[in-house]
Amino acid sequence: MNEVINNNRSIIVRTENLCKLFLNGKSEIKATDHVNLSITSGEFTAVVGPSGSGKTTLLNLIGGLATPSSGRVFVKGKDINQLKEKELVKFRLHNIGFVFQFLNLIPVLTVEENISFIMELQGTNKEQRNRRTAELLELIGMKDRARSRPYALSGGQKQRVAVARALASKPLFILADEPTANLDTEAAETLLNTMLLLNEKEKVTFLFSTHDPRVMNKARRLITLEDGRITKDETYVR
Amino acid sequence: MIKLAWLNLQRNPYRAMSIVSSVFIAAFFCILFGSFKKGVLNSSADSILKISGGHIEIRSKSYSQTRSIDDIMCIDSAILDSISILPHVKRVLPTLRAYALISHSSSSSSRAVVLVGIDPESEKDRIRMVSEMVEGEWFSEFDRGVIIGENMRNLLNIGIGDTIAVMGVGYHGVSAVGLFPVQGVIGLPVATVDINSMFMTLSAAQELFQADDCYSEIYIMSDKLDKVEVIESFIQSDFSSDEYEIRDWKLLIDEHLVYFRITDAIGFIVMFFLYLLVGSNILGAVILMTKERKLEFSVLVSIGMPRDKLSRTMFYELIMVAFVGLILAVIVSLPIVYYFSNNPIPLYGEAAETLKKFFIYAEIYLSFDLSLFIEQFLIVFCICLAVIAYPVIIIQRLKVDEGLSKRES
Repeated sequence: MNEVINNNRSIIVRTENLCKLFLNGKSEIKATDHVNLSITSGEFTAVVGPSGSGKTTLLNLIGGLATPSSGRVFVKGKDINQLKEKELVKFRLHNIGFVFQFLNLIPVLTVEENISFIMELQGTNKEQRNRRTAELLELIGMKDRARSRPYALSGGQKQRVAVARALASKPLFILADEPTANLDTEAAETLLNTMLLLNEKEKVTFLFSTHDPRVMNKARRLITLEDGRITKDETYVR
Repeated sequence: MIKLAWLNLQRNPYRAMSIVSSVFIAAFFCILFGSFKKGVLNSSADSILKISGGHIEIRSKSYSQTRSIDDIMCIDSAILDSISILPHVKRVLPTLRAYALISHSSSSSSRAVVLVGIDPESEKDRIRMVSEMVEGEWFSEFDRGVIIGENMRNLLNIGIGDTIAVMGVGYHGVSAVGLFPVQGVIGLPVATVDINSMFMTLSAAQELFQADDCYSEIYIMSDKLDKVEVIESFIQSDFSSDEYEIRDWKLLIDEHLVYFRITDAIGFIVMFFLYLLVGSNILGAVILMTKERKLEFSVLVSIGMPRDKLSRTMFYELIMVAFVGLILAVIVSLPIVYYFSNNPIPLYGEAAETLKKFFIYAEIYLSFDLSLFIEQFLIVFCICLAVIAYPVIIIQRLKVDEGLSKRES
């Protein structure tokens, strides 16, 4: 069951004392150290911090891509670490969208096929897939590139398609790991505007990691990590 | 999934080609060596059988036990004619073999020999394949002379044109006595045979032993080793198992079995190492491909593609390239094997001499046998299946977060 914090918003992600330790020779490195946070629906949240502060690890743990050394991750009230591998893959497919820094798209598929691919995995019928793909292409402003293959797109266009693909499965939230890291200013701006538009219009929840000040300035909540610990958690009205 | 696998292959044709070429090389050499191995064994068996007589030997059961001329078989020549027209029968070689004493005026003692009556035309190639006429000439059909071994000539100190007296017991106790001129001297490769054998035409031998239409053995040569059983089944009605003994080439070469076993074992070991080599070559290409695509696999699993589906896609992808490589190998090797099965590679020098001593053709034959192509195709395909297990295992055990972190490096 979703945890309701007010009439409109519910907690969709909650972590409890989340720790992830890595061994470096004989010493242990705490990538995340007793992280407790909650993400509510409709948030546009950035996890910030210097390199090695544990941003990617935190996102991987929330997305069920890594197993915590201790602590728990609840998505929609469900402890995802209790799920078996097959259940977890299915859970991710239906509830979490991912945008990575690179190699987001399947190179052999066209833009529309890439977007449609997730829905195909979900078992959505062709008609619905086509309708949803068309909607998403419209939303990201790339209707004219529907038949293009990833190699023919710019870095920014690829990331927008990745966002559309992540959105195709109608997930609870989207995790984006440094989505603008490889983009020039203009492409980063366009991507951010697309993400904000989706957040405002479609109420899509975004949780992304970044150390790009342009992105930080657009985020409505900034969670700062240092040495795996949350040192600041600030909310802004923009 | 199949479409995705096919598109993946098209995405990186160089990578696909590297696996195709690994499989191609593997299958090509396996087919070639398999064919060489079978060709060597078949041609060795064939040459040994030519010396022994043929692929099938027929004799009476009682002669087998007694080796007495009274127990030889007497058969209507029509039966021999009917055998000679059976499919895959290359030649029918009736023989009359009997023991006799010989003497010559130059020697005070007589000597026991095996007198072999043969069909001069049919046997010409068979005997002369491993032996050479040292002096004189080979028989023509109605010749009444004898051909002796080189060692016998030296022992008796006789030459072409000299007369040899033959004394023995003919069929059913008649005396077999005659004078025969030496018309040729042959160098047989085995000294014991050379010193103890004397050849004459079949008709002369039958006349000497008064055994018209009688034979100690009938040999049948087939044009194909794998058709011997078919011929055997045809002739069984003419030669009942109560009276006759029909032995096929497997039994006839029994005494050479050690040679075949050694050759087969060596071939097996070489093939084993060849499979190991080609298997590791294919594995190397697949490992490289898997390593290159770990990040891609991680992304696909993280966005929700089940590992089983991803494994299946990889399986289809690799099966497709394996098939392309295998089919190419068959297409390329077919004409090569066919050519060398009809045009053996001749051997020269010591190797040729050594083989000749063992009655084996001094030529390298490749066996053009479709079952061999199928066999090697299936073996290499199984190797490919075993190799495909590698990316499947990697996908099943993939740690997605570690895979994704590879992009950083």
